[in-house]
Formats: sequence, structure tokens, C-alpha cells
Amino acid sequence: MSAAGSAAGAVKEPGATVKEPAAVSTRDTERTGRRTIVAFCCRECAYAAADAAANARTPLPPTVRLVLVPCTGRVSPLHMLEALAEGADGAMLAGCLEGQCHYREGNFNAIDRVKFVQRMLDSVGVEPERVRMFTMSAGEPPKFVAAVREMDRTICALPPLERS
Amino acid sequence: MPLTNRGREILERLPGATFQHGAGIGCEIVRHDELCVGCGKCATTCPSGASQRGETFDVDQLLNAPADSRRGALGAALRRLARHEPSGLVEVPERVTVYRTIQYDAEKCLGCGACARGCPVEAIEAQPPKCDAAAPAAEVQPAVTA
Repeated sequence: MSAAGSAAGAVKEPGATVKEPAAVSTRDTERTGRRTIVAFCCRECAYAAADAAANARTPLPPTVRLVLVPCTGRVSPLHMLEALAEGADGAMLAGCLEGQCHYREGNFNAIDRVKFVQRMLDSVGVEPERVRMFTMSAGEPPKFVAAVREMDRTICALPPLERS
Repeated sequence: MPLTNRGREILERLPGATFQHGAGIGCEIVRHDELCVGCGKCATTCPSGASQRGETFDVDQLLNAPADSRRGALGAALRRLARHEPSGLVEVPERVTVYRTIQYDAEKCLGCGACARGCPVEAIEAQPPKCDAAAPAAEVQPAVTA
């Protein structure tokens, strides 16, 4: 199984559906050195923004794999760490703007969980920037694309994640 | 040593009291931190405030979690990623409510075992004092104050 396939299959808990990754061209793979980013997208905001970006045919970096979640508050530290452990080089959460969560405070919970996972990774010697949280509204496809590109730049600048 | 300091102190306040069986008090509390999920149930049920939820998390606790425990999958994922031993305690953000190391103060503990009964993952054992069944001579005889 490829690294991308195992990363997308890393999250087995119900409630999250996995979108099939787009075909990755060989040249892109060479450029990125087969990096993979798992993007957990909130159904209400980020996934809608991603959908709009896709409808406008805006190209996304080939590294990113979108995972649809009902709310970023659904994403636990286990999802983030298991994505990293099973083949992803980075994990990002894309949720609603602060104060605009459809479940009131799901994104605030997610922000704190990401902070916690970053601190935990830092304490065992892994770069904390491999996990990040972004916020956007459903009407901001360019912001989603910018967030994914920023994450892609960050991850491609880092060495591939080592696992034992 | 079956009786905690606090348990002994309480016994001393009761003139003529004899410590016979440890159903209600004086249990030896054994904590298995690697099984603990940090939910804080023990801290909320504790009548004496011996167990307290802290603001920090010990990453070692996660790395040592056995595979079949509640934190097993998370511990396994972190073990695969870890490049060195954890460097100290991690400060836990406010909204992360379960990843907290419980601070246990044996001096304050009554040994009532409420925490063991309340623990959802059986990370706390309340062992009854050994003295009652084994040797009646070892019963605690508190000095009656005049």
C-alpha cells in the first residue's frame, strides 16, 4: 500500500468519510518527495470552501488529502497522531472562523487540541508545525487554497517524517 | 503499611476505636498511571482532596500505555513518532479536559477507596489493609486520651 493510501486509511473511526485522493503526477511526486498532508475539513465551512475551490478549478497541491469531518471538534489527538504515524508528513485542521462554529464551540476545542498535540510532539522531538489549525468561512475558497498551500510549503521544507 | 497517616489520625480521634476491617477506611491506594486517562473522576469523588487534577500532562504516561488499554492506540502512534524521551511535562490548554496527570497526595488520603470505585478504566486499586485478617495482634489500638 502506498504512503498516501495508508495515510487516508489511518482514520478508522466512524463519522469521518474519506475522499479519494486525486491522481498524483510523477513530476509532482518528485518535487514533493512523496509528502502527504491529511487535511481534516469541517463539513460546514472548510469542505464547502474546498468544494467551491474545486468547482472553480483552482489547483490544490498534490500532497493534500481531504478528510471530511462533521466539525473540527470531532478530530481527537488520536486522529492527528495516527495520521502522522501511518504515513502522513503533516496534518491540518480546517474549521470555521472563531465564534462561527455550527456546534457553538467545536473549533475552539479543536484549536486547544491542536495546541496540545503540538506541545506533545515538541516534547518528543517532532516538529510541532507538522500539525496546524486553520479557520475560514464557507465563502472563502481562496483562503482555503492559501491555507493548504502554506501547509504544503511548510511540510515540503521539512525532512520526511521518520517513524520507527 | 496498611493505614495511611490520615487514617491513623482519624482513628486517634475516636477513643476506644479498634481498627478491624478496612472496608471503609485505611485501604492502600495503588495508582497505575499508565492506564489513567486523566478524566478526573477520582479527583471529583475524593472526599479529602488527595487526588487533584493538574494543569500538566506527563507524556511518559502515554508512551507507557499498554496496547490493550484505552490510551493504547494513541501511545502506540506517539511511540512510532518519538525521536527521544519526552522532555518534561506538557502544559495542557484549558479546553483539553482529559489529558491531565492526576496529582495524588498520600499524606491527605483517607484510604476510603472512592477513587477506585469511581475510576472508569480501573487505573486505581484499593487494596484492603493486610493487618485485619492476617494477625489480630496487629490491630491498631489507639491511645485513649484522658
